[in-house]
Amino acid sequence: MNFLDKTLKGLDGIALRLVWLGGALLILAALIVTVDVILRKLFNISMAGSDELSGYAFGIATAGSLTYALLHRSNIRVDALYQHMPVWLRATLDIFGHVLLVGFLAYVTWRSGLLVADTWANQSRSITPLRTPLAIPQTLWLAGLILCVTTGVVMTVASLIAFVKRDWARLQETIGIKSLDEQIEEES
Amino acid sequence: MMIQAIVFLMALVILSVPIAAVLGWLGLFMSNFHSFMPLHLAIGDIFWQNSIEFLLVAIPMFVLMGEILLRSGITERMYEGMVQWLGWLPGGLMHSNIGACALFAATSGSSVATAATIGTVALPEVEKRNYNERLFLGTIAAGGTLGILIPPSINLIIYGLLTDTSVPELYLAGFIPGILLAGLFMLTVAIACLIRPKWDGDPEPQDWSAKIRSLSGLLPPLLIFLVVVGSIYAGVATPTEGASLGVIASLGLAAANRTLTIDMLKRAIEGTMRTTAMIMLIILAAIFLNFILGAVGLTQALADFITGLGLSPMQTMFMIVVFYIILGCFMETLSMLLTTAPLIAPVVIQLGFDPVWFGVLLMVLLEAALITPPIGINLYVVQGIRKTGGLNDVMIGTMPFVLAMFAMIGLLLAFPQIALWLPQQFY
Repeated sequence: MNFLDKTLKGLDGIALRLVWLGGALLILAALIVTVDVILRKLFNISMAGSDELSGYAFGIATAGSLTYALLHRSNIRVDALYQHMPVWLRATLDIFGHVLLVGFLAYVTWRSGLLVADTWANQSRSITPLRTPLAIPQTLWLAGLILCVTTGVVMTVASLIAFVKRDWARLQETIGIKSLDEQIEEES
Repeated sequence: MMIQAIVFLMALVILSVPIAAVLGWLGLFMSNFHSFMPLHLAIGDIFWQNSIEFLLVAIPMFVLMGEILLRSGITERMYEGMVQWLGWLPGGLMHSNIGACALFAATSGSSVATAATIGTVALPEVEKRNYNERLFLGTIAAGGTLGILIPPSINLIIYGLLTDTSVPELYLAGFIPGILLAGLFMLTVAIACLIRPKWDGDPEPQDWSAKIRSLSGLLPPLLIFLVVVGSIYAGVATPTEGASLGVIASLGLAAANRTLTIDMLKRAIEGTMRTTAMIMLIILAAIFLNFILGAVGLTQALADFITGLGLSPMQTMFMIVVFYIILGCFMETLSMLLTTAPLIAPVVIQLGFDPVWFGVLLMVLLEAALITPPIGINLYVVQGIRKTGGLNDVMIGTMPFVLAMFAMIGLLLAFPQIALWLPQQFY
C-alpha cells in the first residue's frame, strides 16, 4: 500500500469516528429536546436553550460528517448523460465534478475561517439567554469543514494519478457515481 | 441574465457535477457578474447561521428515526400485519404493498429506503402466489413515493424553509392528499384486478386470530406516527421537537423489540449522517443561491417575465405542472426541489396561489418524478432488488400509478380545498 492509500484509509477511519460522535451528539440533543417538551407540557417548566444547543450539535455533527459523505461518494449527481458515455469521458467528468465540489467547499471554508477569526477577535457571544461563547461551536464546525477540504484534495491527487495510469476502476471507486447496487446495499 | 443562469445551471447538471457544487458555483457566478456589492462574501455567515437552524435539525432526526425503525425489524412485522388486514381486497398483497409503503413512509422520509425495504419483503410473494409481476412491481415503486407527501416529510420541511411557509401547516395540508393518493393507488389495483382477474394472486386465507396477533406489528409504526405528527398537529411540539420525540420513541420500540444494540445504532448513525451531510450541503448551497438570486433581482425578473406572457394564472400553473413533469423524467427529486423551488414558488405566490397548496402540489409532482422513466430512482431500486428480467417490466407496471398521480394533480388543481381544508380547521 502506498502513502496515498494509507492517508485515505487513515482519513476514512477519522471520518467514521466523527460520524459516530456526531450521531451520539444528535441522540443526546434529541434526548434533551424530548425532556424539554415533556417538562414544558406536563409541568410548565421551561428549560431555556435546548433549541440553541441542539442547533450547535446539529451544525457540528453535520460538518463532521461531510468528510465521510465525500469519501463514500454520497453527493447527488445527475447521471442521465453520464451513463451513456465512454469510460475515459466519465472519468474526466468525475474529476471535473469533484474538483468543482472541493473548490466550492474550499471557498466556503476560507470565508468561514474569516468569520470564526472575527468571532475569536471580538469574543462574540450568542444573543440568547445562554450567551454562548460562539468561538467554541464555530471552531469545531470549522474543523469539520477543513478536514473535508483536506480529504477532498487528497482524493483529487489520488484520482489524477489513477487517470494518468488509466486505472478506471480505481478512479471510479474513488470519486465515481455510485452504482445502484451500492446504493441499495447502503439504504437497507 | 436569466438565460445565462439557466444555461449555466443546465450545463453543469448535465455534466453530472454534484448538485451542491452546481448551486454554489451558480451563486458565486451570479454574484460576481450581476451584483454591485460583493454579496458572496456573506457565504461563511449564511452557512454558519443555517447550519445551526433549529428547523433543519428535524432532518437528521427524521432520518435517524427511520433508520432505527428500519434496522430494528419493525418494518417486516408491519408488512405481515398489512398482509393480514388488506390481503382480502381484489388485488391482495398489492394493497399490502401500498399500505405498508404509506405507513413506512409516515415514519421515514426516504423513498429509496421505503421501496427497498418493502420490495425485499414483498417480492418473493409474486411467484409464490401467482401475481401479475408487472403490476406487483408497480405497487412497490409507486408506493415508495408516498413518503414525500405523507407527513412527516423532509421535502416539505425544505420547501417550508425555502419559501417561508409554516411547516406544521404544510404537514396538515399534506395529510389528506397523501391518504387520498394512497387510496387512488389502491383503487387502481382493485380496478385492474376486477377487469383482469388473472392479475390477482391466490386468495389470502382469512384468519381472525392471525389478524388480531398481527396488530402487534402494526401498532409500533402507528404509535410513532401519533407521537411525531400528533404532537405537531396538536401544537404541543414544533416539527424539530416532534422529530426528537420520534427518535426517542423509536429507540424505545427497538429496545422493546430486543434489537437495540450498539452495532445496530452504529449502522443507523452511519446511514443518518451520510444522508444528512449530503442533504445539508445541498440545502446550504441552495439557501446561498436563493439569497444571491433574490438580491440580484433574478427572482423578480422571472416573475415579471412570466406575468408578461399574459397568461391567466391557471394557464401559468398548467405550464408549471407540465414543466415539472418533463423535468421529473430526467432529474432526481431533491435536486429538482432545491434548484426550482426558490425560483418558481415566488412566481406562483405572486400569481395569487396559496403557498401551502402549491407546496402540496409540488410534492405530488416530485413523487411523479421518482417513477417517470427514463430517470426514476424508484424504478431502478425495485429493479435492483429484483435482479432478473428487464427494467421495462417495472416501467410498464408503474404506468397505471403515474396516471393515478396525474389524476391527483388534476384533483388538486380543480379542488384546492383537498389540501387547504385541514389546515384551515386549525389556523
